[in-house]
Amino acid sequence: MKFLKSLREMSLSKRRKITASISLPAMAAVMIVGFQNCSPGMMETKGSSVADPNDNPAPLDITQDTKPITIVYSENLLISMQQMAGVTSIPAAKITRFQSAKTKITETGKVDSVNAPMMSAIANTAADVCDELIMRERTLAAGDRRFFGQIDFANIQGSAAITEVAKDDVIRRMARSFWGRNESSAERMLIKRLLDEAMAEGRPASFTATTAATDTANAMLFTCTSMMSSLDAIKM
Amino acid sequence: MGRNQKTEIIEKQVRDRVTGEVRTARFHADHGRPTSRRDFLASGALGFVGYMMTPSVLSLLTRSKAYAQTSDTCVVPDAGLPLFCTVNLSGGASLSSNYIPLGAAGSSGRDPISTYTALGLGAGNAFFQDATRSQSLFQGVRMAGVLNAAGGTPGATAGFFWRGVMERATAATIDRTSMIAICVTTNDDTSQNQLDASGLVIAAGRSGELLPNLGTNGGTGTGVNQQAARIDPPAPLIVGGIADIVNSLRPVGVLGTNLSEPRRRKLFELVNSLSGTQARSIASPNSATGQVLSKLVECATGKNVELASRSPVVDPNGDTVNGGSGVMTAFAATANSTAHAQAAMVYNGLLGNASTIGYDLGGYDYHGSGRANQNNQDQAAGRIVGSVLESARVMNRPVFIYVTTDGSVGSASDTFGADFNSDRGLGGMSYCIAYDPNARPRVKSDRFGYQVGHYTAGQGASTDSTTPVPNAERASAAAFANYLAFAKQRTILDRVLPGYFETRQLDEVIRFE
Repeated sequence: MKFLKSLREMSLSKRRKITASISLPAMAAVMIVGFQNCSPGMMETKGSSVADPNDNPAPLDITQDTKPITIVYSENLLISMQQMAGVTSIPAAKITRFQSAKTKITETGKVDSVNAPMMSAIANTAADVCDELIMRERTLAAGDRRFFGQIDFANIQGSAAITEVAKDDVIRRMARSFWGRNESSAERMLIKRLLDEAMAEGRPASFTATTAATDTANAMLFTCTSMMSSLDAIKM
Repeated sequence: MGRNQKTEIIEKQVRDRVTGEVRTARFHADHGRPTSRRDFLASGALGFVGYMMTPSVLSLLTRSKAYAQTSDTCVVPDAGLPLFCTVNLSGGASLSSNYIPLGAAGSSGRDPISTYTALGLGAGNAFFQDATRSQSLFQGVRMAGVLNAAGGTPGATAGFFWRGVMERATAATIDRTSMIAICVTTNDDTSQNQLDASGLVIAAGRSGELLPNLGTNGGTGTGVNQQAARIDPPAPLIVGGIADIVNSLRPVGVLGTNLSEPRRRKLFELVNSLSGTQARSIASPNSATGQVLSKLVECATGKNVELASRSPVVDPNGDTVNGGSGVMTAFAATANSTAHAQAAMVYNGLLGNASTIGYDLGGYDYHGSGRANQNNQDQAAGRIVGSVLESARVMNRPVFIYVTTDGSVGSASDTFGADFNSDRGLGGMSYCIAYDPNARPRVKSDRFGYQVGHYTAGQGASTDSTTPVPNAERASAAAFANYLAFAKQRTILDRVLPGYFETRQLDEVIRFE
């Protein structure tokens, strides 16, 4: 009663202030509670929580996703890789190998179909395409090569002689062709580090001309296969 | 500026910045600072931002889940689930002439239906009690035919599925095996029946250490020539030969010949790292597929890094450590034969390398081909089932076998063991056969017995509201429920198929205990 009496004695503007301070938050609460029942709440994200083991693990419905992603599927994998590398034809033996590998590659491109044998089959196929690419470019003049313009396949020191600039150039060209973008500095450093580590494994004290060329080609096979098998090259 | 004490009005001369016009502005002493258009805008924007950023109060109040940092592990915890093996007889086999379907459960149990002519078992039902034409197997299930019955006698003209089973499974195996039947009408000669339960099993937590689910049919995405019931399984590895399994885990071609093992390991490390970096860009909170893809790629390439460093045993041939040689014997397999691949599938499933396995066997659209051929086909299917059971025994692991077929066949003769001469999906059926190395799996001894659903007087599986399994999908769900019961993991049913069966239906649906 005392509060009501003092309220009546207040000026109009003060009464409005009190009314507003009470009613506006109440209206805001009603709006927040009442109009968010169709959304999960703005602060709740799917990625930040552990899946509830009691939730029904329904299959992924890509049509319901806000950002649909698929991957290359068995029928278009080889063609996709050929296009990325610019290799127009593949020998019959490699095609036969791919036909065998197809059973391990998803037929639908659905995201939840990725498994270890499939990634292994993708790497095997990528290696075959990359091998074809390397064999063809080795026979071309440096200026006519699409990816390996700065690689000296005849250097007697093998892969150890590949300069940093040449590695950067190959990685940049492959990133643009395989991933549709420039590589990040982290990706470039990662590729170069693991390439160096891999090629240092079992490197002989000296090469013949033939083994040196093979060593350089294998370094390019390593680079090409890994980049062509990575996620950005196979997702669509 | 002046102050009017009486009316508490403050007057102020203000000049318009644009027009230069001078005006007198009046302010009430007890009023707040005037609110400009910008103030309104600012107030609205702040309120809007606040509204957008504020979580639903209800969601905060009602959330009961505990959220924590994910462990990011690729290995699905072993849920203690045994191998689930599907044997699909593509074309419509006569499973209902091997197991004798019974009628609806009365208060004291189930009785045979009045006649079995359409099921190739002749007129009437006297054969059900006739030891020359039927027999009890497993935990006491009445089956058509008699094992080892001499040619020309009635018992030698039916029940050849069981002959096949007993050819490969020893008495010690059968002693620890139980069987139930699911009476369900299915469509003839089609891959559209939702009879594949492998997606349900994988959703329940059954996983493979090295390999995905294995199958032999690449046309449906399930590994067998049936559609998935309720939940699609991951893409199966299609096994046409032993090389498909062995080569799936090792480099072939240029990758295998040009790069040494340490270099291949580095290569997969690089693919794993690159993919992990790239995955983060697509694994935004609003992209469920992006998150799943990034996780799967990370796990798959991580697995390949591991595999590049060792040679996992996936071929049973010559393996005396895990019982692989015994599995080869159980399948009567020679190196690089089809049986070798079949043996490798169950071997890897039992070892835990693969999550589920599915054999798709052709040649069961066999109506009109004569009973002798039909019996031979049934026997061949039984051999696979017997081989799987025997493999489980030699490897000392439990297994659950789900035998399915699309439709069935019908006969028009009153003679026991007559030919099947038409498609007849009405006579459909599935089997669930479970082996436990410790003891015969227990089946409830209530009025429903060893059968889910029932046959009507019309010699067909019921499709009305009196059966809990009126269609293929529900039959698969029933098989899945029994798989969980066999595994002593019945509570998982509520997670994978919440509320799918009514409580009263579960009494009949779940036969294993």
